[in-house]
Amino acid sequence: MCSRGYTPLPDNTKLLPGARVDQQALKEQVAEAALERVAARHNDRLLLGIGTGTTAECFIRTLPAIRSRIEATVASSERSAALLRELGLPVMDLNSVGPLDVYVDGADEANAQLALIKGGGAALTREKIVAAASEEFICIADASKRVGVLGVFPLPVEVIPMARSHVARALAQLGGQPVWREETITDNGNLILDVHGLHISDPLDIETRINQMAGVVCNGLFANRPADVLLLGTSAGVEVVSGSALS
Amino acid sequence: MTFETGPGSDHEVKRPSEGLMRLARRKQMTRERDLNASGPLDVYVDGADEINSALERIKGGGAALSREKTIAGASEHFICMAGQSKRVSELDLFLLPVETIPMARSHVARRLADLSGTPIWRDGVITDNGNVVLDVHGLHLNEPGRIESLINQMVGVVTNGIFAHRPADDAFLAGSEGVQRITREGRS
Repeated sequence: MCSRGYTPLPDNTKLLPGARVDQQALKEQVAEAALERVAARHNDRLLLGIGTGTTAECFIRTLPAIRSRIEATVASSERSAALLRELGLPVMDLNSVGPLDVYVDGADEANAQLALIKGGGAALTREKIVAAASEEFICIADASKRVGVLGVFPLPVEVIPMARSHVARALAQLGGQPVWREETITDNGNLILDVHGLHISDPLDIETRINQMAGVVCNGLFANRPADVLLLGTSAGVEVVSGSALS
Repeated sequence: MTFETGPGSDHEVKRPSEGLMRLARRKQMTRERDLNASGPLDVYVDGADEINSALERIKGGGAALSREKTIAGASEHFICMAGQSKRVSELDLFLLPVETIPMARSHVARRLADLSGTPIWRDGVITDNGNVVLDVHGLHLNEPGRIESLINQMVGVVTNGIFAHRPADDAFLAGSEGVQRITREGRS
């Protein structure tokens, strides 16, 4: 059973009676599908990267089923690391394990090319680091996260504290409205600006341009390193969207 | 006027490093304000570990590079002061510092090795932002802007010590013949 934590929904979501429960069932469904994919890998001693958020937590709770094959896990947040330890799974530092086999994580938005927006939970930098250090990235989400064009969900940008205003001015020049997520300090001691109103038709270009801004630590666009496969929970079952099928 | 470092009592200072600010306070020569409160600056004044004829620099031997780069980026005019010995035809002699999120240290080191550099962890050094520094040896930077962009794209990198996207506008280089001023083309 997954924890039924609060999941923020976009303002335009019409919440019908029972919708919360359905969304939870979809997350459990894709978590099981991700476990099957991980278990189907040929190596016996798996090095797993683990994401952050309610969907990732559903996946973590499936892992005891393949405990004997897990050499180590690397978590993208303290919260996920605590849950992994609670379940008796080995948690290691990324610097001591080297490249990982698979990274499994959720997303706030995904497009058809498997470019993502992540970071609603403020763990974007660690998530991006673990994803970049992994051979395969399996993204799991319920169907509400699929969009045509990224950017309805505000794009999180992690900045060093002294650069907050400077970066906000540069982001405004990109056409967005940056809003400082006050009270939030990341695991790295930095701040988050949420950029509203970006219509991100070229995610790779926007990711690259934001990375070049002095004072930016990371941004929540995963386009340079998109997911390799997206497992989407729908009321009709799990839909598998493969990145390689499009290229 | 707002200066990064100023010799007179009228000048305000945006802090590039805690060490410099301690010095400034001791000399009672500055009023300090946070960069977030000040808005864009008029002038930034800083040194260099290496500077070429296009006034592109390598900086960060002192591990304050992220703050230095942020302030340089927020300033309208950028003056570099250095000895003639810092002037090079190609930026390749010094170590290139790369500030990195601690958990990404090994990952970034592997990516830097892919660029044919040899990264060495500056063990024991933590930056003002709580990060670690990798010093890269042996990179030949005949295209500093391209290398700066490539390293900025590496996940886990906070800043690198190449200042090519935002070069100095003026350089004052001191030698035995006096001070030479070099102004970047397009600036006066």
